Amino acid sequence: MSKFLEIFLGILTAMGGFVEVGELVFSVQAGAKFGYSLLWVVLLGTIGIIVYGEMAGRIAAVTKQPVMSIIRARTGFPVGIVVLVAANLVSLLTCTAEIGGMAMVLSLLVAWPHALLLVLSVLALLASVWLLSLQWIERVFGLLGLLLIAYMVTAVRLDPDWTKLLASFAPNIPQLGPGHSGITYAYFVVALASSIMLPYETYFYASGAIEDGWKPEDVTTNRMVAGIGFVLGSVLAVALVIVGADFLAPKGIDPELPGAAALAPASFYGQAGLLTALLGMLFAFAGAAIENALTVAYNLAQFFGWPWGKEQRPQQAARFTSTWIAVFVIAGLVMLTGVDPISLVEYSIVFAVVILPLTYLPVLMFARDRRVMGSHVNGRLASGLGWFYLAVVSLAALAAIPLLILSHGGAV
Amino acid sequence: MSLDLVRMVLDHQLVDVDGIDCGKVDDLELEQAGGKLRVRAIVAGPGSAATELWPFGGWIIRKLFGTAATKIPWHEVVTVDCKVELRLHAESFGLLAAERRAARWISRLPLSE
Repeated sequence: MSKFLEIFLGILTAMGGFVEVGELVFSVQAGAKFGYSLLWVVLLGTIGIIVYGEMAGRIAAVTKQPVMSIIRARTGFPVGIVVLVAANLVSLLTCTAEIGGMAMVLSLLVAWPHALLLVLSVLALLASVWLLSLQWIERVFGLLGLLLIAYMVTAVRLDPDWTKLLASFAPNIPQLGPGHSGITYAYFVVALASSIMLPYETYFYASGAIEDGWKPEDVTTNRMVAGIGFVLGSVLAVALVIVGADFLAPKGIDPELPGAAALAPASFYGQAGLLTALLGMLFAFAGAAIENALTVAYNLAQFFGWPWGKEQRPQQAARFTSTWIAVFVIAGLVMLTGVDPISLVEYSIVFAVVILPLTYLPVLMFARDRRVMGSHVNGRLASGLGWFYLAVVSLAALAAIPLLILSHGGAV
Repeated sequence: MSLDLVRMVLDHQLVDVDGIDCGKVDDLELEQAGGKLRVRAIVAGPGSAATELWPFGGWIIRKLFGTAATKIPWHEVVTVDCKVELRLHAESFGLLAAERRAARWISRLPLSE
């Protein structure tokens, strides 16, 4: 039973992480703009997050050391604090975008004022994290996020060209139609990969594993959870690309708003389809908002050595608790200023990729260190893939901001 | 005993006798004894680690976390593994004062028990 529950940790991180609002926007748009062509990026990103998720989870199980502690111990205070500040700004930005996404979905369900929906979203998030244990957060948001399976069912109903679809898992450059430049394609390559490998997933996954009390003998469970959880999330991403390519593009619908994707299940399954898809998005965005708020608190506490953990009584991890409360409040206030959540999504995704190399390098160095990892040290495969993905994210980090500017956020 | 201070001690987690996290090894104080350098004390308090952060970093950290640093004599250290374990309760070294202040605030929130 407890093994079964641990799978939930993976499902929550994968569902919440893969289909958070940024990933949804970028997958559907990628499909609408470039057909199946970008599916190779989904595959590339999925293997990347599995490699580093597994490594961080293994370190957590073997040494009980969370990622931000490792970053500080391996890079020292001056470099470490730059990573801390950058990682927490990105997570705060992502949390803000998720809350904006929640309000957008809610506004399709009820005709209440936007500000009221934002306030209600923040209050619901605060109450959920305050009242529920980490395990129940995993269960509630993990299970209800599974409503997103509506998109998988819809994707199959759309009867995609399976041969072409499978062929797109190999790197390719499409015939670019008029109005789509190579720069936009490159921007989507970077943004889609980033949205799949968002750094908070690694931080949250390892901290959650420590909270769940993983031990060295759990490394096999860790391998399974990282594998199944993240693959399941990426099947959803593939479904969203199909929805963009085979449903929205032929109808000329611009899927810039997350709600547009829900038109596909609605057209096949009517109100039930629409409701399932919208509720799935609502809970996935909420799950990702929670994970990002907790990630800010985990990171801060682990960097400065404070007591931390959702499983502790709030008074026993008081600064940790104050931090996640503050994140929700700040994120809600930022959204109330009327900022456009979709631009927040774009910025959070682009800045996320810039900090990925600084997150991955210390994790790789630690996982390769036999003196601390003992017999659970990286094998050749983990280290080889680790170096490969470190090179991939470093290239993506260098390209990200120039591409954001040159492509005007993918609009060219 | 010889120990790789930078790799094994500096910037590592401090835990007290009950296993409670109580800060980081932000700095080390060394002394010369019989021609050898020895660790005299662990310095805990982020203000001390942030002194050389370019250009306003140190100033911001000191404003946020203060300059108060706690010195823990090296003989109070029990083990150095992935964490640096202390012999006594965090409070007896004056650690976790800020945590207690935050805890008082948290206790005022509804359903905090």
